[in-house]
Amino acid sequence: MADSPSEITQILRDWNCGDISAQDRLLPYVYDELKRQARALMSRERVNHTLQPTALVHEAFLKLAKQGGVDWQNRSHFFGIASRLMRQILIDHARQHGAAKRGDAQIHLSLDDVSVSLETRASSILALDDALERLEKLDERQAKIVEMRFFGGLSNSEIADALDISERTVVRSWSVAKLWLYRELTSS
Amino acid sequence: MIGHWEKINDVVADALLLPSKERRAFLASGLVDADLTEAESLISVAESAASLLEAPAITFSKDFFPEEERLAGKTVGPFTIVRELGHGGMGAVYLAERHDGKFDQKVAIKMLRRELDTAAIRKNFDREKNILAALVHPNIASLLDTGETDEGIPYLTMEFIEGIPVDEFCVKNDLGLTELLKLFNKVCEAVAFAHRNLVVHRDIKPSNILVTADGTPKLLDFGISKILGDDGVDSSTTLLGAMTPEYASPEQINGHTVTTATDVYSLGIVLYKMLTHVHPFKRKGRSNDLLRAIAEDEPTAPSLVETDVDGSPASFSVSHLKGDIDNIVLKAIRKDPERRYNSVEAFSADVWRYIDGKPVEARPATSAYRLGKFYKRNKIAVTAGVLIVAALVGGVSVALWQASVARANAAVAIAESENAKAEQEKAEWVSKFMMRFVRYANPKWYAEGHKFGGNARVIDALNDMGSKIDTEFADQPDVLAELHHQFGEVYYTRGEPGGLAKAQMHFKRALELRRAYYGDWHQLVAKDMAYVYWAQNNPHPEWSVKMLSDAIVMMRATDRRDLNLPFMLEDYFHRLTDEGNESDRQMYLRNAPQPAPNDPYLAADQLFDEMLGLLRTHFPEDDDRIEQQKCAGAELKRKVKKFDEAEAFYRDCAEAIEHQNSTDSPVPRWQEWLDNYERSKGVAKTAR
Repeated sequence: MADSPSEITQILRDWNCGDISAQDRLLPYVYDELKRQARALMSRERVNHTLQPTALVHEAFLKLAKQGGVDWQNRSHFFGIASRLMRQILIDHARQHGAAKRGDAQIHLSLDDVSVSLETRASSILALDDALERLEKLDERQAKIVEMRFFGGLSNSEIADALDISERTVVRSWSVAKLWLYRELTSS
Repeated sequence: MIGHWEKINDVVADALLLPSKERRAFLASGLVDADLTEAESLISVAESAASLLEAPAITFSKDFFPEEERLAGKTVGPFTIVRELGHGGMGAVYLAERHDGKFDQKVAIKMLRRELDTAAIRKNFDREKNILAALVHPNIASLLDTGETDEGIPYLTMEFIEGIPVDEFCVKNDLGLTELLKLFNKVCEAVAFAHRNLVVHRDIKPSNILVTADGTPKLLDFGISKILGDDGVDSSTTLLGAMTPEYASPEQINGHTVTTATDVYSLGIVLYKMLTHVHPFKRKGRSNDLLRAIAEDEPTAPSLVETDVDGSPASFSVSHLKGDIDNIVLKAIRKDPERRYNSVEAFSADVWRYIDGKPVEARPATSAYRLGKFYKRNKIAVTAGVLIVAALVGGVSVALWQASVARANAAVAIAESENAKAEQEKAEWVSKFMMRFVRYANPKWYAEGHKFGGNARVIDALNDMGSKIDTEFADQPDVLAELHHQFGEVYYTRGEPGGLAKAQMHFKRALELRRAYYGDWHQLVAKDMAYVYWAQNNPHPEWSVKMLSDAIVMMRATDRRDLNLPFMLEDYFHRLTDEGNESDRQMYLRNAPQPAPNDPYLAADQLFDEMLGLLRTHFPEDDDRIEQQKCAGAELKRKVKKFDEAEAFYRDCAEAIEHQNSTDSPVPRWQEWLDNYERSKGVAKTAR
């Protein structure tokens, strides 16, 4: 008769088992939520709405946890997924802004400088994304650390928790990753 | 190089800890050749790379997220939009101005997002409108007008409050304790007024209490308020986003009934924040644990809060709060709603007593209470039941989701995405309801758990929940129908005594609801009809046979892609070829879903071909479900004297059986394959 209704059961179960691939299937839910929150965050003008950027994935987690009855223990795992999705969301948006492909626009490296034009920032983040993909091939965990810290806005201790490594390792890995990425971004 | 990356990484990380002059020498002491070159190249950019990526991505990409639409300058009724004031999932609030020569006026316009203008959301919106219209009070932001834009989007016009949140107001104006308490009491008046009008605000927080320059507090945003005695489903989403967890009460977090005591609690938290500048459960910035802390932790007494947090200290020392104020605030924010003040008036009256120097009613909580059961942590036992819930939730939401995806694929119109949104919301309601399942494992907090002493079997919980869906989803017949269908499937597949009758009861109810909702001619109606048939005990009465036949006709016309259709056909042709019962065969022939030849086999043959054709659109040729039918086909084709086809099927069947024999994996209905094969064996030879 009808297909067995096992898909979400499976996602939950996989997620509980730490299966990273479950993120693809959770994607529509988390993606929507993060995008919604990012947009809400960015359009807040009233001072009373002070939501720290870092809290974005936290808020998303609270919301989804509440809706889906998600186990609290999955928090750090969720942060990993959410960071990846944040990356994807930003990249998607950067593309929408007609950012030039990597290489041909000048890369602006102080990415936090908002005075730089939107297009330049958009191409910078695309270039960073490319570089990060190359770093992934060299050292997957190191790339993950960058992703969680930069895109997910997570603290070193949260990253340490999520990846089950020491905070010291996170800090060391991050400091070298920055050098590597800087060189990648300036060399072309 | 890749193999050495770890080593390079390590040495470079160490080198970074050294003064820059010593780094190169350090690298050379640990690395050689290409590794050293690589490390040196990395170290050389250390200075320039220092600030790279230090700010999170979100801070520089803010304008990557444009507003949904730029409405500034647009005209709404007599108003011109100036700018957005706030924005959430459901819509936005805009500042707008009116210049019509007579007078200039600033207003706040609350407007739904166009794509969310669905019946359910509009109903919420209308509710807020009605509530606001009834609440005319100097300390409540008033409703001025309502209307629809040219595009038909509903909006509310409200008094525009130029003010700052009440907690900030206290800090900025350095309010003394008495002034502060009087200001707070004005807020209480507004809330008490709402309560007298049977409205619970449910989302009281500093950002919803703005204080104007002349010191008048105004209560805003009745977006998720609730009318007492109204059994409508709870909504936790406001126009400006989800309910703020920070100010949510323990009962809201636990999903218990919300009463006026909820507002008493939130007012208590607001007062706490006004007095101490901190939130009682959010001092360490660990927002993740917030919900748990609200539900479980004991708040620190206001007088014990360290005040160096959050800028300027108040003009009074928190130590002044020791005693009466501590008692008042802590009484308002007790976990157990029944132990708080009975009403906002009672809360406010106690504050007045303090201001007037009279003895207050609030007493410190006894330690017996503090250590009482209410605070004990209850870990929710995760039982096998959760998996069933997940299956149910999954079933419904996947079904609804698939429906929306299918439609989204097929259509381009915006109307379709509205549909998808609505479907998504339905799925969320259903999930919320279903997640109550875990409460059956918690006898201490939840009525559901208490009822069975926490030892509910999965089936007890299902029975119990199944009896509630009619009331819970009374105003969402489409969701209710899908739930009935899903519950029906559970009983249908469990095979317990009496289960089939229960399953059929649910399927019949689903059918009835869907007929009322979708009309008599719809694929979901056809599906339910088939299930009513399947859940019918043998022998099938004629109405049941007729129902299957009608279902086939309807499904062919409404959704030939539906996977139930081939199985409906299969059932039908099987009965036509069931030699054990001639009168049944005649009954099925009489009711056949098409003008049938006056011979059960010929009728069956037509249905068989149709079924196989459909299965082939769903599955690959070597799928078990197709192979198996070939075995059945061999026998049937022989009966109708289509010998060539019979032989081809026979060969395929033999091959498939051989293949199955060579593997260990079990095949569903294997015996049927073999029986069919055996029966057609001789026949095929005869045919030759």
